[in-house]
This record gives sequence, structure tokens and C-alpha cells, in this order.
Amino acid sequence: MQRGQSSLPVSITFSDPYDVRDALLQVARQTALAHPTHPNAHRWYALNLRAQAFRTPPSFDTLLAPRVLYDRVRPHPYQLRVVEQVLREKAPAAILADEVGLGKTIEAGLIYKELALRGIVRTALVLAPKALLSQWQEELREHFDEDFVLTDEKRFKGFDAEERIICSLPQFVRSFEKLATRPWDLVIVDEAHLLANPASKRRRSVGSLRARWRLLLTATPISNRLTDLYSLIDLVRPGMLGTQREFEDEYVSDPGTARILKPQKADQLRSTVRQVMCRTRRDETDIAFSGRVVHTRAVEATPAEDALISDVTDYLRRLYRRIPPPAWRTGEAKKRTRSARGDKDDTGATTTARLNRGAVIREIMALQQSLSSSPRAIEQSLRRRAERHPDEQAMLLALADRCRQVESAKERLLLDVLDEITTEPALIFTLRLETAAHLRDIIAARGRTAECYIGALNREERESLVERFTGGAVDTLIATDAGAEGLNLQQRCHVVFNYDLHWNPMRIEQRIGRIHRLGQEQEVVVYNFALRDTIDDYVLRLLYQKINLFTMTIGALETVLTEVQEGELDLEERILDALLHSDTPDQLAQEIETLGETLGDGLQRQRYAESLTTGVLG
Amino acid sequence: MKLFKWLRRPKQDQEARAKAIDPIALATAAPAASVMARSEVATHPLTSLIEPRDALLRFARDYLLASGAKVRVEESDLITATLTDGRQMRYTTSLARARSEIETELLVHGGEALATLLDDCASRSRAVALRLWETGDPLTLAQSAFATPLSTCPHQCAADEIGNRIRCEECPQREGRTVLAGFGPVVRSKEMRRSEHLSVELTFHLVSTDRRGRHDEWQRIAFDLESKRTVPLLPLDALLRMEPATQVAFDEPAVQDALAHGQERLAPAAKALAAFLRLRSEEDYQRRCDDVQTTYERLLRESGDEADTIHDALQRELTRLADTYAIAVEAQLDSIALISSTTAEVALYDKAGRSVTITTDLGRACVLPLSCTRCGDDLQAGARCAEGHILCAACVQRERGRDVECPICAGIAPAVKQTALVERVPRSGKLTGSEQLRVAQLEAMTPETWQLCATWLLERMGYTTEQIETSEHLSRYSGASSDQQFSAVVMRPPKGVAIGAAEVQYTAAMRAGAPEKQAILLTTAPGSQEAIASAERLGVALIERDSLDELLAQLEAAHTLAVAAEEQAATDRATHAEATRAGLLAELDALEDGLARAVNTRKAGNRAAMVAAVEEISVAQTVSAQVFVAWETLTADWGASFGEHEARDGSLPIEANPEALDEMRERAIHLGEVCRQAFERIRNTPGAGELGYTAWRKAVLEELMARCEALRWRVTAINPAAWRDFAQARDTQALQQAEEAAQAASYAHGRAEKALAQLQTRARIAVPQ
Repeated sequence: MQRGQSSLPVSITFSDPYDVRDALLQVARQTALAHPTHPNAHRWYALNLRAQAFRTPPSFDTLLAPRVLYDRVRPHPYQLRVVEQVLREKAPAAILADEVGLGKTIEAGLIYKELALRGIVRTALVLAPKALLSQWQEELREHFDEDFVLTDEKRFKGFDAEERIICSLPQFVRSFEKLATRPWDLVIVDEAHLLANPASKRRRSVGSLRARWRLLLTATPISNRLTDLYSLIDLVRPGMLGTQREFEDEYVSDPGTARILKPQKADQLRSTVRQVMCRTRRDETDIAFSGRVVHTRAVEATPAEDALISDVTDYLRRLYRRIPPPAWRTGEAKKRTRSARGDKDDTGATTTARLNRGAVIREIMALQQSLSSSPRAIEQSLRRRAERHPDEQAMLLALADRCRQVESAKERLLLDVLDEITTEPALIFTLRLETAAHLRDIIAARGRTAECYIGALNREERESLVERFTGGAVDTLIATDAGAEGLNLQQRCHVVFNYDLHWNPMRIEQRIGRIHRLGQEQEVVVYNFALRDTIDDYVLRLLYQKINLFTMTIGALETVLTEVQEGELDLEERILDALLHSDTPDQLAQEIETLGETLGDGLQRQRYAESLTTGVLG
Repeated sequence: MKLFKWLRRPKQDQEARAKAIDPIALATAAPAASVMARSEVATHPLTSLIEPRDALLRFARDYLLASGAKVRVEESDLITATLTDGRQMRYTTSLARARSEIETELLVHGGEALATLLDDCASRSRAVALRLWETGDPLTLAQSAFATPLSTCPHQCAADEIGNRIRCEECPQREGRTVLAGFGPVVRSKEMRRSEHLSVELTFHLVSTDRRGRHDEWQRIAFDLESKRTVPLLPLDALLRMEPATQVAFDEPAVQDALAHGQERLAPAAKALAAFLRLRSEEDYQRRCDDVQTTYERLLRESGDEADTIHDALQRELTRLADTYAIAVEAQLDSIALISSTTAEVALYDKAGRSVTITTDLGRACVLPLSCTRCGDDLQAGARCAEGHILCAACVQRERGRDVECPICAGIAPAVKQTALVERVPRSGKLTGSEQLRVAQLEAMTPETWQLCATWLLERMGYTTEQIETSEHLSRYSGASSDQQFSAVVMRPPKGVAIGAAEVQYTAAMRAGAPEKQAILLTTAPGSQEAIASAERLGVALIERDSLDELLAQLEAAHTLAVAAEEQAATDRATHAEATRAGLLAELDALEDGLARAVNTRKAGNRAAMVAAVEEISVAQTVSAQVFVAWETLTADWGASFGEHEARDGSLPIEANPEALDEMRERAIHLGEVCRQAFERIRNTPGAGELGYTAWRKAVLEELMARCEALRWRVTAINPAAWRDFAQARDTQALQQAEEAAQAASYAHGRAEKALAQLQTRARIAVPQ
């Protein structure tokens, strides 16, 4: 191999980004006509000279982001330490490997914001498992006032046109050709242990990206083998550990399985790793979260309600069975992935069918959510669908009319529980606006002051409502998921109701997170409502309890979901499929249980990786 | 402390400065009446003024006033304003207040509120035309800016080395006045004419990025539009005397010309910044490149069939590395001001009737520097020839030894005495180049870059800076190195000024009260003999121009030197290892030789002789066993001196240092000596005897021989002479041979034990334990 000393590239440019030249010509033209430029020109000139001091950012010794984001995020001291370490010592690439729940996203966000404020970073790409994409978007918006665009959003203009993108790893691999042509200032990879396999296409693609700054986030840099660690470090600092064989020779006792570290080399490895990795353990922090108490209440549906649910579900089942079955049922997953990745001509009927299927699934999902929510919600949904489908109008309207007669068992349960907790302020989450409005009315009729916190409120209305709630003027807040983004109520409230259930566990976690966050001093009480022997009941009992969703360490859920099909599992669709594919309750229970086992396996894998990482890195 | 002449200012300037506290602020500040405090408490006096507590808030106040808003300073950390469109704004710099009052905007670096103010302010002042009011009397200005060479000066500074080493207290240049040899004192002055002059002041935003992030600084450049001669930057107090200009004759070619000249002026500072950033990152970059290259080289050795793929990956990695470490310096034109000012030409006459014409800027209240007739450089000290040509110090120096002719008119300039500067042997030109950092570039740096650079230089010299106080030409650093505290003075005097004893004394005085502190004087200026002598006497580490240049050259070659040093160290270790191996093998050869000579056919004549021989051999055997344990340890140490796996570059890692290797050789000599004595005892015993004696002795010799052989193979297994190639340096077959020899020794030992037992029984010999 030819070796030569390459010199460091240096460029010096002169530019006129503010069109000073044109401005000067304008001044010259004005003054030539004996017009003074501006009566205060000298004052502005002097002010601008003074302003230079404020336009020069201080060194990294003084972080700007925490002050700029004072009203959005209050980082822990250990998070600030990590940010400082990365910026001062590890730049421009680092692995953030804090234990689960310590806020790696906040650290990465702070680093991004700090670099953006200083004009060091303009373009940024966040790569994350599919299950975490919207969470990333929301966190960046809520805590860092940064609007990143998801690649599946309508407003996404393409990889060349956007400056800040959040993209799933498979999508990234598929679009690598487009992404690779442009340089990025910063690339953040969440759940980076998914890149541990050096032969995988995603690992090679991330390695080939032109990015000046790189941040890899993972709580478990060693998920299965010691060489996982090598692989990640080689991504941020190529050559630091030599070749994989060299690494194994140096540190690994069992080269075949690579799970045992040579004891005499442990300190050396840790010290080497520290050059690129920041890792904070939970016991090194003073972070203390209050506990959670979970009450899951399943109530018998009223006979009319039961009949309605059964009939609507049958209708949905018919709709669902008209579309092609999902890939995991037909075993086509691999074939489909292959064609989507490589075959550019494969954009005909298959893709169209897939898109149509997606649209139908979304529609069915919306109806099912309304059904789970309340008779009021499903009534409105059915009427809206009737308008769009004249051929089914009569049947849909008949069903909608029946909804009016149905008394909801969950309503009664809610009112009973609210009576139990007396004057305790409560936050009630529901999926549907109609449900929220109805609940507000019936709660208000019982003497509590209730208000709806929904997406349609403008900023002032939201602030005013939160102020009234925190001030005590309102004691029950009924929120929809869309409206509750960025809501922080931990100071006032410690009781949250999942009046209806979201099938995406991340959304459940986000709901609880509105009150269970830093600053919550009381034990958080979570009420989950479901109608007995309905899909929500099964999901609660057989799925979420299997992974202890409601009492899981904060942040652990993301890791577990990543462990299941590498974060690509669409749990909502799987649950819907289970519901509509099954013909009997037993079959449905079996399907949900199988899904629960898959999640349980993910949890086990995550725990194993955690213990392995802790064993090696401390 | 104003110790040095180049740090001094004319007294009148100092007085003016004392009067004007933050003149820019005054120029742009609000009338006092508009910033009265509001108080809910009636007793609070309405007329009491509250001044915003920090510069950011004061800036915001002044910005708002300039934009026509009504501003009130409510508290020292809060201002409120009613904007021209009727909107109410509240600004604070207090985080606590911003958190508690949602409607109050926090002004903070990087924050949106401040960015809005700054952007608006910048956009309003991108291009302005200003006029300076006239101030001061041109004759007074001209006369006060001129000084006569001191005839009593012990150093004859002005006359000797014009501009190069004026350092004494009496020097007229200390207040920034101009001195010309062959002219003065001024006895008369006359205003020749007045005219309007247009100058331009360009502000550049220098943005540089490297692996560490981004560095921002601002550079203002001012020059006369017509002559392109440097004019002083708008002094802060001149801002009080500004007004918008109404008529400026300025067309497009002039704009182009001004911008091109501005860039030309800025280029040295930008290049110097780039050179500094490059040097700061270079070593790390080269090390990373080496890491990557050696890794891929090894990868290629491990999987040679994927050569193309590996080569592509290497190129990609190197490109990525270059992207990461790339240095970019961008000079963004931020604003431009056309400044119209009245200038007056004044002729100054001395007693002899010689005259010098000098230009005074009445708007800036200053005198424009004279320029050298030969090189065109501005000068503060120089000479006037008989024909009236003005020459700068450097041009006079150049003519020294050539009868000091004025190169313009070939007239004779006043006599010049020889310099006392230390003559230096010029450096070899190996490391010169426009991209490399040299002292000349340090001189071209902006003050911010220079401070960064000086801090980095101290760091590279092993000093960690804890505190910096800085002024225009001088910075004081304090901190610690690995073993002691230090205080450093870093000076960058104007071009042509040499460091003298006074500067060294000043540096030494910095450690007053802590004599154990190390004192360092780092300067871009040359050092005089006095300075060097003084530094030696006072124990000050003087790093003057030439030493600094050498230091920069060393830093430039740091990576190459480090690689060479590593290579040298590895070669040294290999040489020592080779010698040790030879020593060990020589000893083992000698032992084997000794054992071979122990074989004889001499027979024990009687039982007594045989008993004595058995006793002798047994004693030797015991001693040998003990020594062989030590030998085993020694060969184990030898093996452990080398890495088990090949190094990244494919070589044999030699982990033991030369001392340890030498010590092994000495141990081998000692052990060999003891062994030889034991073998000698065996050699002196009869080779044959009755009742199994012969077999026993033979088995003993075989065991010893085999043990020697095992040791020899163990030593042979590693050949440090071939250390560059791991496979060649490690002989695995030799290790197998060693194992086989050890096995043979074990069998021989068994045979010897058995034979001895038989002998003891047959001959009824009691062998001492």
C-alpha cells in the first residue's frame, strides 16, 4: 500500500455575504445627490462596533445552549458535564453511553444546539429506529426549539433540500445514495448498538457518510460481544483500536465468542474507551424519580355497548380482509425489503398496493381508536366515513344512530374514580376530541372544574389554561395526545388517566411523562381503563404488563422496542392485525400473548446487554 | 504599567481617555432623562439614575433608543421599551427574572432576542458615510507629534539603530512621536494647505473553523482612499464628533478598488490565522492519518484478497479525516464606512532651515505617519537626507556598510553607528513556506489570534495557563508546568523594536515574592545582547525572535520527529535485545560445551572413589537444579519482553526497555558462571564405575544437557534482529523444540533418579539430602 503524508487541507476565502458592496454603492448614489444616508448613521455604526463583542461566541468553557433554552430544558449537572466533555475533549465524534433513562437525547440535543448557536453546525441528520422517530422530533421541538423534519412527513422536500432531518435506519440505507452525496455537519445515531455488526449495510453506510461531527447514542455499546464495542469505536475514531483481530488479540480472552475481557486489560480498555465515550451510571447521579402506582380497571361493557363494539369490529374486520395481508403473515418481509432496497424498477403495482394498504390501515386504525374511545367518538367517525362512502352510507348511519343510545361503562367508572380521589387534580388522556368534550361536560356536571386541552388551542389559550390548572382554578384537564405535546404539569398534578388506550407504548409513556418528570415529588398514580374482554383489555393484560410497561425505568422502553426487530416493529399495526385477523376471543388472546412474548424477549436481550456493558465498562 | 516606550501614549491622549469612559457608549447612549427609574415606592427619588448592570443590557438600551423606542430602566437587570409601532418589550439579562416573568425576553449570547437586535443593528450599519468634525489646531498637532533625537541619549537610539532598539526612559518615541535623524529641533511650522480627504474603514468578520470548532474575531482596516496609506482606525472619542455625510464623491470603480485593497490588507492576518490553526491541528491530524493507514495496512495483511476494497475504504477514511480536520478561514465583509475628514499639510522647520512636511488629520485629531521614500512603509523613526528624502529604519540599515548613501538621491545621510544587536546565523531554508507558521506571521496576526497562539505555544512548551491579563502589545500569563509555577510575559512589540534589558527586568519582577517561580519572556522581537545577558543574570527564560522561530520549526516537524523518535526507540530496544539474545546464547553454548567435555571414560578405581564421585555429582546436581530454576525465570522474562501478537505495523513489539534487557544479559553471565562451576565438579568425576554408576552419571549429564537445550530453544525462539517482521522474528518451531527438550530432560531426570536409587542400594551409599 502506498503511504504518503497528506497535508491538512486549508482554505482561505473572502466573501461579502451581506452584500456590503451593493449597500455601499447605494450610499454612494445617495450621497452623490447630497442626500444623507441616515440621520442616525453614525450612531448605528458605533453601535455595531459595540455589538461585535456580543457577536463573538465565548469559548466552550461557557455553554450557550443551557441559557438560551432556559425555559425549555433544565439539564442535570451530569448532562452538562457530558456536553462539556464532548465539546472540549472528544470533538468531533463521541459515543454517549449513559445508562438507560439518564437523558442521552437531552445531551445530544444540547450538543447540537450548542454547535448550532455557534454557527458550527447547520445541517444535521438524526438516525433512529422507526419506533423512536416521532419521539425525537417532539423532544427536539419541545426542549430545543428545533424543527426537524421526518422523511415520511408531507412537508419533507427531499434529502438534498432539507437541512435538518430525522430518518429511520432502513430508510437511511435505502436512500444512502442521495444522502451520501452531501456532507453533513452533524450526524446523530440513536440506539447505535444496531450498528455493531461491521458487515451490515447500515453500519457501512453510516461509516461512509461525510459528517464532520458524529454522535452515537446507546445505553448498551456492548450488546452481545466485546467486538460490538470495537465496531462502534471504530466508527467514531477509525484506527484507534486497530483492526478487529488486533482488538481481539489485545483484549478478548475467548476469541470465538468474544464475551470475556482479559482481566489484566480491563483498566487499559476502559481508559482507551474513555477517549471517545462518555458514560454516566445511574448511581453516579443525584437523579431521583418518584415511583408509580398503576391501577388497571377493566369494566364490563353495557349490553348495548357490547353489541355496538361487536358490530363495528365485524365491519372493520370485513374492511381489513379486503386488503392484502401483512408481510409478516405471508413471509414476504425479506423479499419485500430486498425489492425496496435494490430494485429501482419495482415501483409498480406492488408499491401502489402497499400505499393503498397503508391508507386503509390508517383509516381502520382511526375507526378502531374511536371505538375504543367512546360511543360519541365512534359515532362521529362513522358519520364522517358515511359521507365519503355513499355505498355503505345506510349501514354506517344505522350504526352511528345506535351509538346515541349507548351508555358507556367507562364513563361511569371514571366518575366513580374521580369521586374516590375527591379534590385531587387529575389529567385525563383520550384519543378523541369528541370524547374529551363529552367527558368535560359530564365531569363538570359532577361539580369539578374541567377543561379540554386540545391541539386546536392557540399558544395564549394553552398558556392561560395551564396557568389556571396550575393555579388551582381548574382541577381536571382532559387532553388529547396531539394537544399535550410539551405539557409539563408535574408541579400540580400526580394523577393521570388513560381513559382510552394508545397502542403505541411510546405514546403511553409520553402521556405519563407529562406529570412523571423531574420536579414531581409525589408518587404518580396511573389509571388505565378498558372494557373487559375487548382488545384494550388484552393489550393491557397480555402485552403491557408482560414488559411492566407502566413501572419500567424511564427510558428503558425505547431500548426494549429497539431490541424487537431492531426497532422496526410497528406495534400498532400488529395489534390491529391481531384483532381483525382473529375470529375468536381465544385466538385474539393467543395473538396478543405471542406479541407479548416477542416484547418480553426484547426486554431480556436489553437486560443482558446492560449487564454485559456494565461488566466491561463499569 | 507603562514601562516600555512602545506601550506609551502621548499624555494628552491619556488625559482624553481618562475623561471619556466608554466613548462609544457615550456616543450612542441615551440622554439621562430617559432612563429614570420607576418605583412603586413614593419615597424613591424620581431623579435617581439606574444604570443597567451589564454591557449587554446597556447595549440593548442604546439600540432601542437609536431605533426610536421609549426606554425605561426599571431595575439594573430590567429595561422596558415602547417600540415605535407601539409594542411593549421587556428585556433582562437575569436568568431568574426571565424564568419568573414569562413576558420578559432574556438577552443572552446565542439567544433569539439578542440575535434580533444584533442583526438589525448590523443591517443598519452595513454601509455608512460619515463626516468627522474638525478639531484641534494643525500646527499644534504637528509639532507635538514630532521629536528631536536626543543628543544625550546613552544608547544614541535614534541615531544608531533607528527604530530598532529604543528603550530608554528618555526616548522621545515613547509617546508615539516621530524622530528623524538629521532633523530637529522644530523651531517653526506653517500650514501649507487644507483639503477634504476620504478614507474608508472596512470591518471584516474572520470566521475560522477547525476540528476544535469555530473561532470568531473582528478586524478593522482603515486607509486613505486615494493614497491607500493607512489611517488610524476611528478613535473611540471621534465617534462623538461624527455626523452623517451628505456629499461623498465615490463611484463603482472606487468601491471595487477599496474592497480589493481591504482584502489585500487583511490577507496576511487571514493567512497567519490559517497557518496557526493548521499547525495546531497538524500533529494530531498526522497521527490520526497514521493510525488509519497502519490499521488498513494490517487489514490488508489479514485479508489480502480484498485489496481493492480495503484500498477504497482507506481512501474514503482519509478523505473523511481531511474533512474533519480541514481548516477554513473565511473573511466576511461585515460593514464599510466612508469617512470624510479635513486634513492639513504642515511644514516643520528646524534651526538649520531643513523642512519636513507632515499631514495632520483634523477630524481624527492626529498626525498621519510619514512614509519611507524608498519602501513606502510608514515610519515612526528614520532619517532625513540632505535632499529631504525620508528613509525608514530598515532602509537605513540596509545601506549600512555601503557609505550610508541615500538610495533616492545618493546624498549622504547622517552617520550611523554599528548596532549592538546579536548576530544570528540564518536558519536553513528547509521549513520556509507560505503555509508554515513563522515569526513574520505571528506579527501579522490579529490580537485575538496572537493571544490564542501564544497560549497554545506555552501549552506546547508544557505550561498550563491559568490566568491571562492582556493589553495591546503585552500579555501576562500565570500558571504551572508539571513541576513548578510560572509567570510569563508575552510581547509583540511593533515591527523594528528589539527587546532590551528593561523588558527582561520587568519579566523577572513578575515573580516578585515567589522566587521559585519560573519567569518566561516570549516575544516576536529580536533580543539585544543586553537582554540576553540580563536574562541569564536574572534567570529569565528568554524566547526571542530567533528562538521562537526555532520553536515553531520544531513544532512544524513535531510529528515527523515523534515518529522518528519512536522508530529510534524501537531500534534501540531491538539492538539491546539482540545483544541480550547473543549474550544468553553464548552462555548456554558455553554450558553445553562444558557438559560435553564432562563425558569421559575415566573409571572410578574403588568404592571409596565412587562414593566420593557420587557425593560430588549430587552436590553439583543440587546446585544446577537451583540455577536452572533461575535460568527458567530468566528465559520467561526474556519471552515476556516481547509482545505475543504482532504490532499494528506487523512488527514484533519489544516491550522491555533497554535497561531491563541489559540486566537480563548480566543475569545470564552470573548464572552461567555458577552453572559452569557445578559442571566443572561433574567433569572432574570419573566417567565410569561399577554398580550402575556409569548409567546414573550419564543420565545426569543427559538431563542437564537437555535442560540447557530447552533454554537455548526458548531464547532462540525470538529473534529481535528480525523485529520488523513478526512472523520472522517469532520462531514457533523453536518453541516446540524447547518443549521437546524439556520433555527429554524430564525423562532423563527420571532415569537418573532410578539409576541413583539402584546405585544406592547396590553400593549401599548414603547420599546427602
